[in-house]
Amino acid sequence: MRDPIDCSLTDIAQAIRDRAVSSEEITRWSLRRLEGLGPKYNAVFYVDAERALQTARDRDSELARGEIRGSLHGVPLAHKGLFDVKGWVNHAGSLVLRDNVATSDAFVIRKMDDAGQVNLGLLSMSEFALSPTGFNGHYGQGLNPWNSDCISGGSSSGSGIAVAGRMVFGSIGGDTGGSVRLPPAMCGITGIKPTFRRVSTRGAIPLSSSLDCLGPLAQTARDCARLLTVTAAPDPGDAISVDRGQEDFEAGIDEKVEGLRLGVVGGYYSEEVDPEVAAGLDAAVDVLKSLGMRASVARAPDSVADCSVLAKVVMSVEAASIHGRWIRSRPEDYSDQVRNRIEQGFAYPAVRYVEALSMRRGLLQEYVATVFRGCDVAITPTMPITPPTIVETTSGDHGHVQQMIRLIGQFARGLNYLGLPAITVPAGFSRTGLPLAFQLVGKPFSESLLLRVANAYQQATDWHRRLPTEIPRDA
Amino acid sequence: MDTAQKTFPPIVDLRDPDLGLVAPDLIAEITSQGNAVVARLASDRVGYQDSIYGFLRPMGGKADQS
Repeated sequence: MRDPIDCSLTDIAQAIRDRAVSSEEITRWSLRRLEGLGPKYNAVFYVDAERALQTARDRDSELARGEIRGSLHGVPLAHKGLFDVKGWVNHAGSLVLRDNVATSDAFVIRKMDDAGQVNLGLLSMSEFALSPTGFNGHYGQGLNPWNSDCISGGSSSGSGIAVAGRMVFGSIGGDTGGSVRLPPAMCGITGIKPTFRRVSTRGAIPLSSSLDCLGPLAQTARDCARLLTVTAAPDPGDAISVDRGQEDFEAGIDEKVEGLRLGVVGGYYSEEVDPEVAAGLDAAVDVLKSLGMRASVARAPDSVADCSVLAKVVMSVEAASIHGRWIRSRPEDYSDQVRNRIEQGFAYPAVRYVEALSMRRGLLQEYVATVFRGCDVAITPTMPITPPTIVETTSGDHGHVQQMIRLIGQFARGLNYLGLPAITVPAGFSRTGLPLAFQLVGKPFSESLLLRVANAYQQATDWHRRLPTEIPRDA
Repeated sequence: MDTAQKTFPPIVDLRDPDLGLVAPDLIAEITSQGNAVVARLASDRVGYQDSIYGFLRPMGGKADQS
């Protein structure tokens, strides 16, 4: 068997099934890396090694009897620290919930348990998911495994770092304004935000119920497809989850992309873009063209910039309604950066909030009709800049810090407002060795198509296979 | 105070010391901009009240109403 560090989630799942490695062996390997490297990069909140090893031994016993639970049988994973796992503290990166012991499992955790995962623990995140940089004033800033002076991206910072650092083989994160796309873009892995509420959020600490999405982060598009297949199941217990039945996102992933139409979206998505990011996008388009995709320029509607503002209004108000009683009674338990963002929600009139929600249908129809008029899949940078340093996003001129934070989420946040699916794919490196990435955007419920195009790109490139420069092969 | 702030003042008085806000000036600036954008768009786009979660339905979604 190949060295596990060179294996993806689907590789290791097959190796376990073939008995080339036991679940206990690979779980010990993952635990060693997660417990050794995780704290160094602020990637982990909690590891339950004893429970993980017992689960791994159970999976091995089942396999010896010829029993396979599902497509994740025996695979070590860990997930963003906002999910309820019975008996574990779920504090979502906050002090407010530091004593919140979960009494049941989140829906996605239960689905992955049913599919045979070995859950190692909870990974770090921004306080209450409120930072695109990975900033956390209480538990430490997520550090980029390609250069620890730089941000990892957030809010699913630990998920991005742990997958990129080969500590776990995949992770489920949460995305309210880019959080399963920005850490992959900055850490050099893959992440997909599905269509709004395609994955039930029951048992995850909410930030904004109209925008929150859960989605996988993993090395490859194929890995993401497997995790999405397991988690994107109808949930009768979540009244607003979308019921599309059970879809197998891996089933058509190897189909050719020849003849598919690729829309390179200009206008808004080309403004303020760093030349290195633009060059990375051009190179990615060339690869997709070489695979037979027909590329053309697509236009975004003029309202696309407003979607980002509307997302902010909705997020702020909903976050304020969730946090109101804690903000008033325990303000000292919030870091200033997070309190500041939540408090904005108190200042929007109810009429503006309802208007912002009411416009979603029309703006979504306009976006789909304009962008996808001549293409099947749209491509944009995931973010307009290369990963900034921690200093650039935390200290110095306040205006500059705000500008950096705004730019990071510029191309991501509006898609949460529109509810559209989008996948981030690694696309090379900057001159300073930091990951570049692009984002494929599709019509509602087009996750299979996005995964297929991303997979085709990854068959032709190896950016997603590169080990971060600071991460040792042996840990 | 710019036009947006005059036209769409925040609903709370950000000068109220009892609120203990972290950055009232910044909040005032951001929310006035947000309010202005929503108001501008709403003037010709909001003609009916839509379900918060039903907006994907015309695109093929089938929201579970259980």
